[in-house]
Amino acid sequence: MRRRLAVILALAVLVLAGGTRPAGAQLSENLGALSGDNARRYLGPLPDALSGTMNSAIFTSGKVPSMGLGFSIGVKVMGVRFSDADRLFTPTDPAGFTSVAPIQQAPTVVGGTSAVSQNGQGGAILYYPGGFDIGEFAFAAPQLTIGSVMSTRAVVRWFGMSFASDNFIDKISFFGIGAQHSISQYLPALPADLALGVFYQKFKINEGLLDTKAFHIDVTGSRSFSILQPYAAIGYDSFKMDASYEDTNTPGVNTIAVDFDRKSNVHLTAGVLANLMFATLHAEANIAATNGVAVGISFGRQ
Amino acid sequence: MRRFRFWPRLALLLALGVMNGGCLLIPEIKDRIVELAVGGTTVVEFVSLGTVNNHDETNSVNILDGFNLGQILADAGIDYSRVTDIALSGVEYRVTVADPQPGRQIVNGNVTIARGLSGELDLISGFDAAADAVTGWQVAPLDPGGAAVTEINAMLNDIRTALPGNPPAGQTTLTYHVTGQSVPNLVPTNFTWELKIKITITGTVTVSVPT
Repeated sequence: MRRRLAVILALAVLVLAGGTRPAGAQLSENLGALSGDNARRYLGPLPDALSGTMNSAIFTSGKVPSMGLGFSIGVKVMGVRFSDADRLFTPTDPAGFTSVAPIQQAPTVVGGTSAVSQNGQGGAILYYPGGFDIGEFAFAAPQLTIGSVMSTRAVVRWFGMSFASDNFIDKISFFGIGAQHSISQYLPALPADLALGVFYQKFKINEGLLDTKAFHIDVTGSRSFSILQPYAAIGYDSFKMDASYEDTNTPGVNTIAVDFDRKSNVHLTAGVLANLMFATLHAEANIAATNGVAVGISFGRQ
Repeated sequence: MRRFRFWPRLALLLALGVMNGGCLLIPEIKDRIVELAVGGTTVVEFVSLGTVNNHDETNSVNILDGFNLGQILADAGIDYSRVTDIALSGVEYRVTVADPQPGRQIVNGNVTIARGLSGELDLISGFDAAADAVTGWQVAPLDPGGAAVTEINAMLNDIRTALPGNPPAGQTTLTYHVTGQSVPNLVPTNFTWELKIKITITGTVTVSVPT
Protein backbone atom coordinates (compact mmCIF):
# COMPACT_ATOMS: atom_id res chain seq x y z
CA MET A 1 0.00 0.00 0.00
CA ARG A 2 1.36 3.35 -0.93
CA ARG A 3 0.44 6.52 0.87
CA ARG A 4 1.65 9.72 -0.60
CA LEU A 5 2.16 12.98 1.13
CA ALA A 6 -1.02 14.79 0.32
CA VAL A 7 -0.06 18.27 1.33
CA ILE A 8 3.29 19.85 2.01
CA LEU A 9 2.33 22.87 3.99
CA ALA A 10 4.14 26.01 3.12
CA LEU A 11 3.43 27.46 6.50
CA ALA A 12 3.12 24.19 8.17
CA VAL A 13 3.42 22.96 11.62
CA LEU A 14 5.39 20.00 10.42
CA VAL A 15 6.82 17.87 13.11
CA LEU A 16 7.47 14.21 12.99
CA ALA A 17 3.98 13.18 13.82
CA GLY A 18 2.55 16.08 11.96
CA GLY A 19 5.50 16.15 9.64
CA THR A 20 3.70 14.24 7.03
CA ARG A 21 0.18 13.11 7.07
CA PRO A 22 0.94 9.50 6.27
CA ALA A 23 3.75 9.13 8.80
CA GLY A 24 1.53 10.51 11.47
CA ALA A 25 -1.23 8.26 10.28
CA GLN A 26 0.89 5.17 10.72
CA LEU A 27 2.16 6.39 14.07
CA SER A 28 -1.11 5.50 15.75
CA GLU A 29 -0.96 2.01 14.25
CA ASN A 30 2.58 1.44 15.41
CA LEU A 31 1.67 2.53 18.92
CA GLY A 32 -1.27 0.14 18.98
CA ALA A 33 1.01 -2.89 19.19
CA LEU A 34 2.99 -1.50 22.12
CA SER A 35 2.36 -1.61 25.83
CA GLY A 36 2.32 1.72 27.65
CA ASP A 37 5.91 1.39 28.87
CA ASN A 38 7.19 0.50 25.43
CA ALA A 39 5.15 3.24 23.76
CA ARG A 40 6.83 5.70 26.12
CA ARG A 41 10.22 4.45 24.99
CA TYR A 42 9.18 4.29 21.32
CA LEU A 43 8.14 7.95 21.43
CA GLY A 44 11.07 8.83 23.71
CA PRO A 45 12.93 11.12 21.28
CA LEU A 46 9.88 13.30 20.69
CA PRO A 47 9.58 15.34 23.91
CA ASP A 48 13.11 16.75 23.71
CA ALA A 49 12.80 17.42 19.99
CA LEU A 50 9.43 19.11 20.37
CA SER A 51 10.59 21.11 23.37
CA GLY A 52 13.74 22.20 21.55
CA THR A 53 11.83 23.39 18.52
CA MET A 54 8.55 24.70 19.92
CA ASN A 55 10.36 26.80 22.51
CA SER A 56 12.70 28.44 19.99
CA ALA A 57 12.53 31.58 17.88
CA ILE A 58 9.71 33.12 19.88
CA PHE A 59 11.43 36.33 21.01
CA THR A 60 14.11 37.67 18.69
CA SER A 61 14.71 41.10 20.11
CA GLY A 62 14.97 42.79 23.48
CA LYS A 63 13.65 46.01 22.06
CA VAL A 64 10.03 46.60 22.98
CA PRO A 65 8.65 50.05 22.18
CA SER A 66 6.92 51.75 25.08
CA MET A 67 3.80 52.64 23.11
CA GLY A 68 2.42 52.58 19.58
CA LEU A 69 0.37 50.34 17.39
CA GLY A 70 2.34 47.93 15.28
CA PHE A 71 2.17 44.35 14.21
CA SER A 72 4.13 41.85 12.25
CA ILE A 73 3.30 38.48 10.87
CA GLY A 74 5.71 35.85 9.78
CA VAL A 75 6.87 32.27 9.84
CA LYS A 76 9.36 30.61 12.16
CA VAL A 77 11.09 27.37 11.27
CA MET A 78 12.96 25.46 13.93
CA GLY A 79 14.98 22.28 13.49
CA VAL A 80 16.95 19.79 15.53
CA ARG A 81 18.94 16.70 14.64
CA PHE A 82 18.50 13.33 16.32
CA SER A 83 21.48 11.46 17.69
CA ASP A 84 22.19 7.76 17.14
CA ALA A 85 21.23 7.12 20.74
CA ASP A 86 17.70 8.28 19.91
CA ARG A 87 17.14 5.49 17.41
CA LEU A 88 16.88 2.41 19.63
CA PHE A 89 15.26 1.43 22.90
CA THR A 90 15.30 -1.68 25.05
CA PRO A 91 11.73 -2.95 25.41
CA THR A 92 10.20 -4.35 28.57
CA ASP A 93 8.10 -7.48 28.32
CA PRO A 94 4.40 -6.69 28.04
CA ALA A 95 1.97 -8.64 30.21
CA GLY A 96 1.69 -12.23 29.06
CA PHE A 97 5.02 -12.38 27.27
CA THR A 98 8.32 -13.55 28.72
CA SER A 99 11.28 -12.88 26.49
CA VAL A 100 14.22 -15.24 26.26
CA ALA A 101 17.82 -14.33 25.43
CA PRO A 102 19.07 -12.66 23.36
CA ILE A 103 17.08 -9.57 24.28
CA GLN A 104 16.63 -7.39 21.20
CA GLN A 105 16.70 -3.63 20.97
CA ALA A 106 13.81 -2.11 19.06
CA PRO A 107 13.65 1.01 16.90
CA THR A 108 12.15 4.19 18.27
CA VAL A 109 9.81 6.34 16.23
CA VAL A 110 12.86 7.91 14.53
CA GLY A 111 14.78 4.63 14.24
CA GLY A 112 15.13 2.04 11.51
CA THR A 113 12.11 0.96 9.51
CA SER A 114 12.30 -2.80 10.10
CA ALA A 115 10.23 -4.46 12.81
CA VAL A 116 12.20 -6.43 15.37
CA SER A 117 11.21 -9.88 16.62
CA GLN A 118 11.79 -10.98 20.18
CA ASN A 119 11.68 -14.67 21.00
CA GLY A 120 9.66 -15.60 24.04
CA GLN A 121 9.03 -18.52 26.36
CA GLY A 122 7.49 -21.58 24.74
CA GLY A 123 8.29 -20.48 21.20
CA ALA A 124 6.19 -17.33 21.31
CA ILE A 125 7.31 -14.36 19.23
CA LEU A 126 6.58 -10.69 19.74
CA TYR A 127 7.20 -8.07 17.10
CA TYR A 128 8.09 -4.46 17.85
CA PRO A 129 7.24 -2.01 15.04
CA GLY A 130 9.78 -0.21 12.92
CA GLY A 131 10.38 3.51 13.10
CA PHE A 132 10.31 6.11 10.36
CA ASP A 133 14.10 6.51 9.92
CA ILE A 134 14.19 10.23 10.51
CA GLY A 135 17.40 12.10 11.14
CA GLU A 136 16.08 15.60 11.61
CA PHE A 137 13.02 17.19 13.04
CA ALA A 138 11.57 20.50 11.87
CA PHE A 139 8.74 22.50 13.30
CA ALA A 140 7.31 25.60 11.67
CA ALA A 141 4.70 27.99 12.87
CA PRO A 142 3.16 31.27 11.81
CA GLN A 143 3.66 33.97 14.41
CA LEU A 144 1.84 37.24 14.95
CA THR A 145 3.29 40.01 17.10
CA ILE A 146 1.16 42.92 18.24
CA GLY A 147 2.27 45.88 20.32
CA SER A 148 2.99 47.88 22.21
CA VAL A 149 1.06 48.93 25.25
CA MET A 150 2.94 49.92 28.38
CA SER A 151 6.14 48.54 26.89
CA THR A 152 4.52 45.17 26.39
CA ARG A 153 3.73 43.32 23.20
CA ALA A 154 1.72 40.19 22.61
CA VAL A 155 2.88 37.21 20.59
CA VAL A 156 0.59 34.55 19.15
CA ARG A 157 1.34 31.36 17.24
CA TRP A 158 -1.33 29.17 15.80
CA PHE A 159 -2.01 26.48 13.30
CA GLY A 160 -4.84 24.08 12.68
CA MET A 161 -5.72 21.54 10.06
CA SER A 162 -8.37 18.87 9.78
CA PHE A 163 -7.99 15.70 7.79
CA ALA A 164 -11.60 14.77 7.29
CA SER A 165 -10.91 11.96 4.88
CA ASP A 166 -8.12 10.39 6.87
CA ASN A 167 -8.98 7.57 9.19
CA PHE A 168 -6.05 8.01 11.50
CA ILE A 169 -5.27 11.69 11.91
CA ASP A 170 -8.37 13.76 12.19
CA LYS A 171 -6.85 17.00 13.27
CA ILE A 172 -3.68 18.88 14.08
CA SER A 173 -4.02 21.92 16.26
CA PHE A 174 -1.37 24.24 17.60
CA PHE A 175 -1.77 27.41 19.60
CA GLY A 176 0.65 29.56 21.53
CA ILE A 177 0.28 32.86 23.32
CA GLY A 178 2.60 35.04 25.32
CA ALA A 179 3.98 38.49 25.91
CA GLN A 180 7.25 40.35 26.15
CA HIS A 181 7.80 43.29 28.45
CA SER A 182 10.66 45.77 28.31
CA ILE A 183 13.07 45.67 31.23
CA SER A 184 15.50 48.17 29.84
CA GLN A 185 12.96 50.97 30.35
CA TYR A 186 13.62 50.57 34.06
CA LEU A 187 17.40 50.48 33.54
CA PRO A 188 18.21 53.37 31.22
CA ALA A 189 21.92 52.99 31.74
CA LEU A 190 21.98 49.59 30.08
CA PRO A 191 23.94 49.56 26.81
CA ALA A 192 21.48 47.09 25.27
CA ASP A 193 17.75 46.51 25.11
CA LEU A 194 16.44 43.93 27.50
CA ALA A 195 13.01 42.29 27.75
CA LEU A 196 11.33 39.55 29.71
CA GLY A 197 9.16 37.16 27.72
CA VAL A 198 6.80 34.34 28.62
CA PHE A 199 5.10 31.99 26.21
CA TYR A 200 2.69 29.04 26.50
CA GLN A 201 1.95 26.59 23.69
CA LYS A 202 -0.34 23.62 23.11
CA PHE A 203 0.10 21.18 20.27
CA LYS A 204 -2.34 18.34 19.67
CA ILE A 205 -2.75 15.56 17.19
CA ASN A 206 -6.16 13.89 17.08
CA GLU A 207 -7.33 15.34 20.36
CA GLY A 208 -5.20 13.02 22.39
CA LEU A 209 -2.99 10.81 20.24
CA LEU A 210 -0.30 13.31 21.15
CA ASP A 211 -1.04 16.16 23.50
CA THR A 212 1.78 18.53 24.37
CA LYS A 213 2.08 21.65 26.46
CA ALA A 214 5.14 23.88 26.48
CA PHE A 215 6.05 26.83 28.67
CA HIS A 216 8.97 29.13 27.96
CA ILE A 217 10.32 32.12 29.83
CA ASP A 218 13.40 34.10 28.91
CA VAL A 219 15.25 37.35 29.12
CA THR A 220 16.32 38.58 25.69
CA GLY A 221 18.99 41.19 25.15
CA SER A 222 19.73 42.89 21.86
CA ARG A 223 21.44 45.90 20.39
CA SER A 224 20.95 47.53 17.01
CA PHE A 225 23.79 48.20 14.58
CA SER A 226 22.32 49.73 11.48
CA ILE A 227 20.10 47.07 9.94
CA LEU A 228 21.51 44.29 12.07
CA GLN A 229 20.43 43.48 15.56
CA PRO A 230 22.29 40.67 17.31
CA TYR A 231 20.44 39.15 20.21
CA ALA A 232 20.97 36.63 22.94
CA ALA A 233 18.66 35.10 25.50
CA ILE A 234 18.74 32.97 28.58
CA GLY A 235 15.58 31.14 29.38
CA TYR A 236 13.83 28.19 30.93
CA ASP A 237 11.70 25.59 29.16
CA SER A 238 9.11 23.27 30.61
CA PHE A 239 7.51 20.64 28.41
CA LYS A 240 4.84 17.99 29.00
CA MET A 241 3.67 15.36 26.55
CA ASP A 242 0.95 12.74 26.84
CA ALA A 243 -0.17 10.13 24.37
CA SER A 244 -3.29 8.03 24.11
CA TYR A 245 -4.00 5.29 21.62
CA GLU A 246 -6.08 2.21 21.01
CA ASP A 247 -4.60 -1.15 21.92
CA THR A 248 -4.77 -3.19 18.71
CA ASN A 249 -4.85 -6.37 20.79
CA THR A 250 -8.31 -5.34 21.98
CA PRO A 251 -9.61 -2.90 19.37
CA GLY A 252 -12.50 -0.77 20.49
CA VAL A 253 -12.06 -1.90 24.07
CA ASN A 254 -8.78 -0.77 25.52
CA THR A 255 -7.27 2.70 25.25
CA ILE A 256 -3.72 3.06 26.52
CA ALA A 257 -2.70 6.39 28.04
CA VAL A 258 0.98 7.21 28.25
CA ASP A 259 1.99 9.94 30.64
CA PHE A 260 5.46 11.31 29.96
CA ASP A 261 7.49 13.00 32.68
CA ARG A 262 7.59 16.77 32.54
CA LYS A 263 10.90 17.98 31.12
CA SER A 264 12.53 21.22 32.17
CA ASN A 265 15.78 22.74 31.02
CA VAL A 266 17.75 25.92 30.56
CA HIS A 267 17.47 27.46 27.12
CA LEU A 268 20.28 29.60 25.68
CA THR A 269 19.91 31.47 22.41
CA ALA A 270 22.23 33.51 20.19
CA GLY A 271 21.05 35.02 16.96
CA VAL A 272 20.95 37.95 14.66
CA LEU A 273 18.04 39.92 13.26
CA ALA A 274 18.17 41.88 10.03
CA ASN A 275 15.69 44.71 9.54
CA LEU A 276 15.34 44.97 5.78
CA MET A 277 13.06 47.34 3.96
CA PHE A 278 10.45 44.77 3.10
CA ALA A 279 10.87 42.22 5.83
CA THR A 280 12.64 41.21 8.97
CA LEU A 281 14.82 38.12 8.90
CA HIS A 282 16.44 36.32 11.75
CA ALA A 283 18.60 33.28 12.35
CA GLU A 284 19.57 31.77 15.67
CA ALA A 285 21.20 28.85 17.39
CA ASN A 286 19.74 27.26 20.49
CA ILE A 287 21.11 25.18 23.31
CA ALA A 288 18.04 23.60 24.88
CA ALA A 289 16.46 20.18 25.45
CA THR A 290 17.89 19.38 22.05
CA ASN A 291 20.27 21.79 20.39
CA GLY A 292 19.06 23.26 17.14
CA VAL A 293 18.81 26.19 14.79
CA ALA A 294 15.94 28.37 13.69
CA VAL A 295 15.18 31.00 11.08
CA GLY A 296 12.26 33.30 10.53
CA ILE A 297 10.85 35.93 8.27
CA SER A 298 8.20 38.46 9.19
CA PHE A 299 6.47 41.38 7.62
CA GLY A 300 5.19 44.52 9.29
CA ARG A 301 6.37 46.80 12.04
CA GLN A 302 6.70 45.78 15.65
CA MET B 1 33.15 51.57 13.47
CA ARG B 2 35.33 48.58 14.13
CA ARG B 3 32.53 47.07 16.16
CA PHE B 4 30.11 47.62 13.28
CA ARG B 5 32.30 45.58 10.94
CA PHE B 6 32.37 42.77 13.44
CA TRP B 7 28.64 42.11 13.37
CA PRO B 8 28.31 41.37 9.66
CA ARG B 9 31.01 38.75 10.10
CA LEU B 10 29.15 37.27 13.02
CA ALA B 11 25.98 37.27 10.97
CA LEU B 12 27.79 35.55 8.12
CA LEU B 13 29.09 32.91 10.50
CA LEU B 14 25.62 32.37 11.88
CA ALA B 15 24.13 32.16 8.41
CA LEU B 16 26.74 29.58 7.43
CA GLY B 17 25.88 27.65 10.54
CA VAL B 18 22.24 27.67 9.62
CA MET B 19 23.00 26.73 6.03
CA ASN B 20 25.13 23.88 7.29
CA GLY B 21 22.01 22.59 8.99
CA GLY B 22 19.88 23.62 6.07
CA CYS B 23 18.30 20.24 5.73
CA LEU B 24 17.18 20.69 9.31
CA LEU B 25 14.95 23.56 8.40
CA ILE B 26 13.93 22.50 4.92
CA PRO B 27 13.29 18.79 5.30
CA GLU B 28 13.52 16.64 2.23
CA ILE B 29 10.51 14.39 1.77
CA LYS B 30 11.51 10.79 1.23
CA ASP B 31 9.54 7.58 0.92
CA ARG B 32 10.13 4.97 3.56
CA ILE B 33 8.95 1.38 3.65
CA VAL B 34 8.04 0.98 7.28
CA GLU B 35 7.34 -2.37 8.86
CA LEU B 36 4.41 -2.14 11.20
CA ALA B 37 3.57 -4.52 14.00
CA VAL B 38 -0.01 -4.98 15.09
CA GLY B 39 -1.68 -7.37 17.45
CA GLY B 40 -4.74 -9.56 17.20
CA THR B 41 -6.53 -12.14 19.28
CA THR B 42 -8.88 -15.06 18.94
CA VAL B 43 -10.88 -16.47 21.83
CA VAL B 44 -12.19 -20.01 22.29
CA GLU B 45 -14.86 -20.80 24.91
CA PHE B 46 -15.05 -24.03 26.88
CA VAL B 47 -17.97 -25.16 29.02
CA SER B 48 -16.73 -27.58 31.63
CA LEU B 49 -19.74 -29.49 32.85
CA GLY B 50 -20.15 -32.74 34.74
CA THR B 51 -16.64 -34.16 34.85
CA VAL B 52 -15.53 -35.64 38.17
CA ASN B 53 -12.00 -35.93 39.54
CA ASN B 54 -10.16 -36.15 36.23
CA HIS B 55 -10.91 -33.24 34.02
CA ASP B 56 -10.77 -34.34 30.39
CA GLU B 57 -12.47 -32.55 27.56
CA THR B 58 -11.96 -32.11 23.87
CA ASN B 59 -13.21 -29.31 21.69
CA SER B 60 -12.73 -28.52 18.01
CA VAL B 61 -12.93 -24.96 16.77
CA ASN B 62 -12.39 -23.24 13.48
CA ILE B 63 -10.00 -20.47 14.36
CA LEU B 64 -11.54 -18.24 11.70
CA ASP B 65 -14.76 -18.10 13.69
CA GLY B 66 -13.13 -15.64 16.05
CA PHE B 67 -10.24 -14.28 14.05
CA ASN B 68 -10.57 -11.97 11.06
CA LEU B 69 -7.06 -11.34 9.79
CA GLY B 70 -8.32 -9.39 6.81
CA GLN B 71 -10.11 -6.93 9.09
CA ILE B 72 -7.08 -6.53 11.36
CA LEU B 73 -4.93 -5.74 8.34
CA ALA B 74 -7.51 -3.36 6.92
CA ASP B 75 -7.75 -1.51 10.24
CA ALA B 76 -3.98 -1.13 10.28
CA GLY B 77 -3.80 -0.02 6.66
CA ILE B 78 -1.67 -3.01 5.65
CA ASP B 79 -2.36 -4.62 2.29
CA TYR B 80 -2.58 -8.41 2.62
CA SER B 81 0.10 -8.83 -0.02
CA ARG B 82 2.56 -6.95 2.18
CA VAL B 83 2.21 -8.99 5.36
CA THR B 84 5.70 -10.18 6.30
CA ASP B 85 4.98 -12.51 9.22
CA ILE B 86 2.30 -13.65 11.60
CA ALA B 87 3.00 -15.53 14.79
CA LEU B 88 1.65 -16.48 18.19
CA SER B 89 2.79 -14.12 20.93
CA GLY B 90 1.06 -15.67 23.92
CA VAL B 91 -1.89 -17.54 25.38
CA GLU B 92 -4.14 -16.42 28.21
CA TYR B 93 -7.19 -17.86 29.95
CA ARG B 94 -10.00 -16.70 32.19
CA VAL B 95 -13.03 -18.08 33.97
CA THR B 96 -16.19 -16.40 32.73
CA VAL B 97 -18.80 -18.38 34.69
CA ALA B 98 -17.67 -19.50 38.14
CA ASP B 99 -18.21 -23.00 39.47
CA PRO B 100 -20.71 -22.89 42.37
CA GLN B 101 -18.54 -25.35 44.27
CA PRO B 102 -16.28 -23.37 46.60
CA GLY B 103 -12.63 -24.23 46.15
CA ARG B 104 -13.07 -25.62 42.67
CA GLN B 105 -9.80 -25.65 40.80
CA ILE B 106 -8.04 -27.48 38.03
CA VAL B 107 -4.66 -28.76 39.13
CA ASN B 108 -1.74 -29.76 36.94
CA GLY B 109 -3.68 -28.93 33.82
CA ASN B 110 -2.47 -29.48 30.29
CA VAL B 111 -3.78 -28.32 26.94
CA THR B 112 -2.80 -29.93 23.69
CA ILE B 113 -3.80 -28.95 20.18
CA ALA B 114 -4.00 -30.93 17.00
CA ARG B 115 -4.42 -29.78 13.43
CA GLY B 116 -4.97 -32.14 10.54
CA LEU B 117 -2.54 -35.01 10.94
CA SER B 118 -0.24 -33.25 13.38
CA GLY B 119 -1.21 -35.42 16.32
CA GLU B 120 -1.57 -33.91 19.80
CA LEU B 121 1.02 -31.25 20.56
CA ASP B 122 1.56 -29.73 23.99
CA LEU B 123 0.47 -26.11 24.12
CA ILE B 124 0.14 -25.42 27.86
CA SER B 125 1.71 -27.53 30.55
CA GLY B 126 1.26 -27.75 34.29
CA PHE B 127 -1.14 -24.94 35.01
CA ASP B 128 -3.23 -24.63 38.15
CA ALA B 129 -6.34 -22.51 37.91
CA ALA B 130 -9.05 -21.62 40.40
CA ALA B 131 -12.50 -21.90 38.87
CA ASP B 132 -14.77 -20.91 41.75
CA ALA B 133 -14.70 -17.25 40.80
CA VAL B 134 -14.73 -15.21 37.63
CA THR B 135 -11.21 -14.08 36.75
CA GLY B 136 -9.49 -11.66 34.44
CA TRP B 137 -7.13 -12.84 31.73
CA GLN B 138 -4.23 -14.80 33.15
CA VAL B 139 -1.05 -15.84 31.40
CA ALA B 140 -0.92 -19.50 30.46
CA PRO B 141 2.49 -21.18 30.73
CA LEU B 142 3.38 -22.35 27.23
CA ASP B 143 5.01 -25.73 26.94
CA PRO B 144 8.77 -25.19 26.58
CA GLY B 145 8.97 -27.57 23.64
CA GLY B 146 7.11 -25.11 21.45
CA ALA B 147 5.75 -27.76 19.04
CA ALA B 148 2.15 -26.55 19.36
CA VAL B 149 3.22 -22.96 18.85
CA THR B 150 5.06 -23.95 15.69
CA GLU B 151 1.90 -25.68 14.43
CA ILE B 152 -0.27 -22.68 15.25
CA ASN B 153 2.19 -20.40 13.47
CA ALA B 154 1.99 -22.67 10.42
CA MET B 155 -1.80 -22.40 10.55
CA LEU B 156 -1.62 -18.61 10.82
CA ASN B 157 0.62 -18.44 7.79
CA ASP B 158 -1.79 -20.69 5.89
CA ILE B 159 -4.43 -18.08 6.65
CA ARG B 160 -2.09 -15.33 5.48
CA THR B 161 -1.24 -17.16 2.27
CA ALA B 162 -4.91 -17.63 1.43
CA LEU B 163 -5.79 -13.94 1.79
CA PRO B 164 -7.98 -12.27 0.68
CA GLY B 165 -9.89 -15.55 0.88
CA ASN B 166 -9.81 -18.28 3.50
CA PRO B 167 -7.98 -21.60 3.46
CA PRO B 168 -9.98 -24.87 3.64
CA ALA B 169 -11.60 -25.36 7.03
CA GLY B 170 -9.40 -28.38 7.65
CA GLN B 171 -6.37 -26.14 7.79
CA THR B 172 -7.88 -23.76 10.31
CA THR B 173 -9.62 -26.19 12.65
CA LEU B 174 -7.83 -26.91 15.89
CA THR B 175 -8.76 -29.67 18.29
CA TYR B 176 -8.07 -28.72 21.87
CA HIS B 177 -7.65 -31.43 24.48
CA VAL B 178 -7.73 -30.25 28.06
CA THR B 179 -6.78 -32.52 30.96
CA GLY B 180 -6.12 -32.06 34.65
CA GLN B 181 -7.29 -32.95 38.11
CA SER B 182 -10.54 -31.36 39.19
CA VAL B 183 -10.75 -30.72 42.94
CA PRO B 184 -12.56 -31.09 45.23
CA ASN B 185 -13.05 -34.70 44.28
CA LEU B 186 -16.41 -36.36 43.69
CA VAL B 187 -18.18 -33.09 42.88
CA PRO B 188 -19.01 -32.54 39.17
CA THR B 189 -17.48 -29.47 37.55
CA ASN B 190 -19.68 -26.69 36.34
CA PHE B 191 -17.84 -23.66 35.02
CA THR B 192 -17.10 -21.88 31.77
CA TRP B 193 -13.72 -20.60 30.72
CA GLU B 194 -12.06 -19.07 27.70
CA LEU B 195 -8.72 -19.42 26.04
CA LYS B 196 -7.26 -16.44 24.21
CA ILE B 197 -4.56 -16.77 21.58
CA LYS B 198 -2.60 -13.55 21.07
CA ILE B 199 -1.09 -12.92 17.68
CA THR B 200 1.58 -10.56 16.43
CA ILE B 201 1.53 -9.48 12.79
CA THR B 202 4.02 -7.51 10.71
CA GLY B 203 3.52 -5.87 7.36
CA THR B 204 4.98 -3.03 5.38
CA VAL B 205 3.53 0.27 4.27
CA THR B 206 5.11 3.03 2.24
CA VAL B 207 5.04 6.41 3.90
CA SER B 208 6.53 9.77 3.08
CA VAL B 209 8.55 11.35 5.86
CA PRO B 210 10.64 14.50 6.23
CA THR B 211 14.31 13.82 6.71
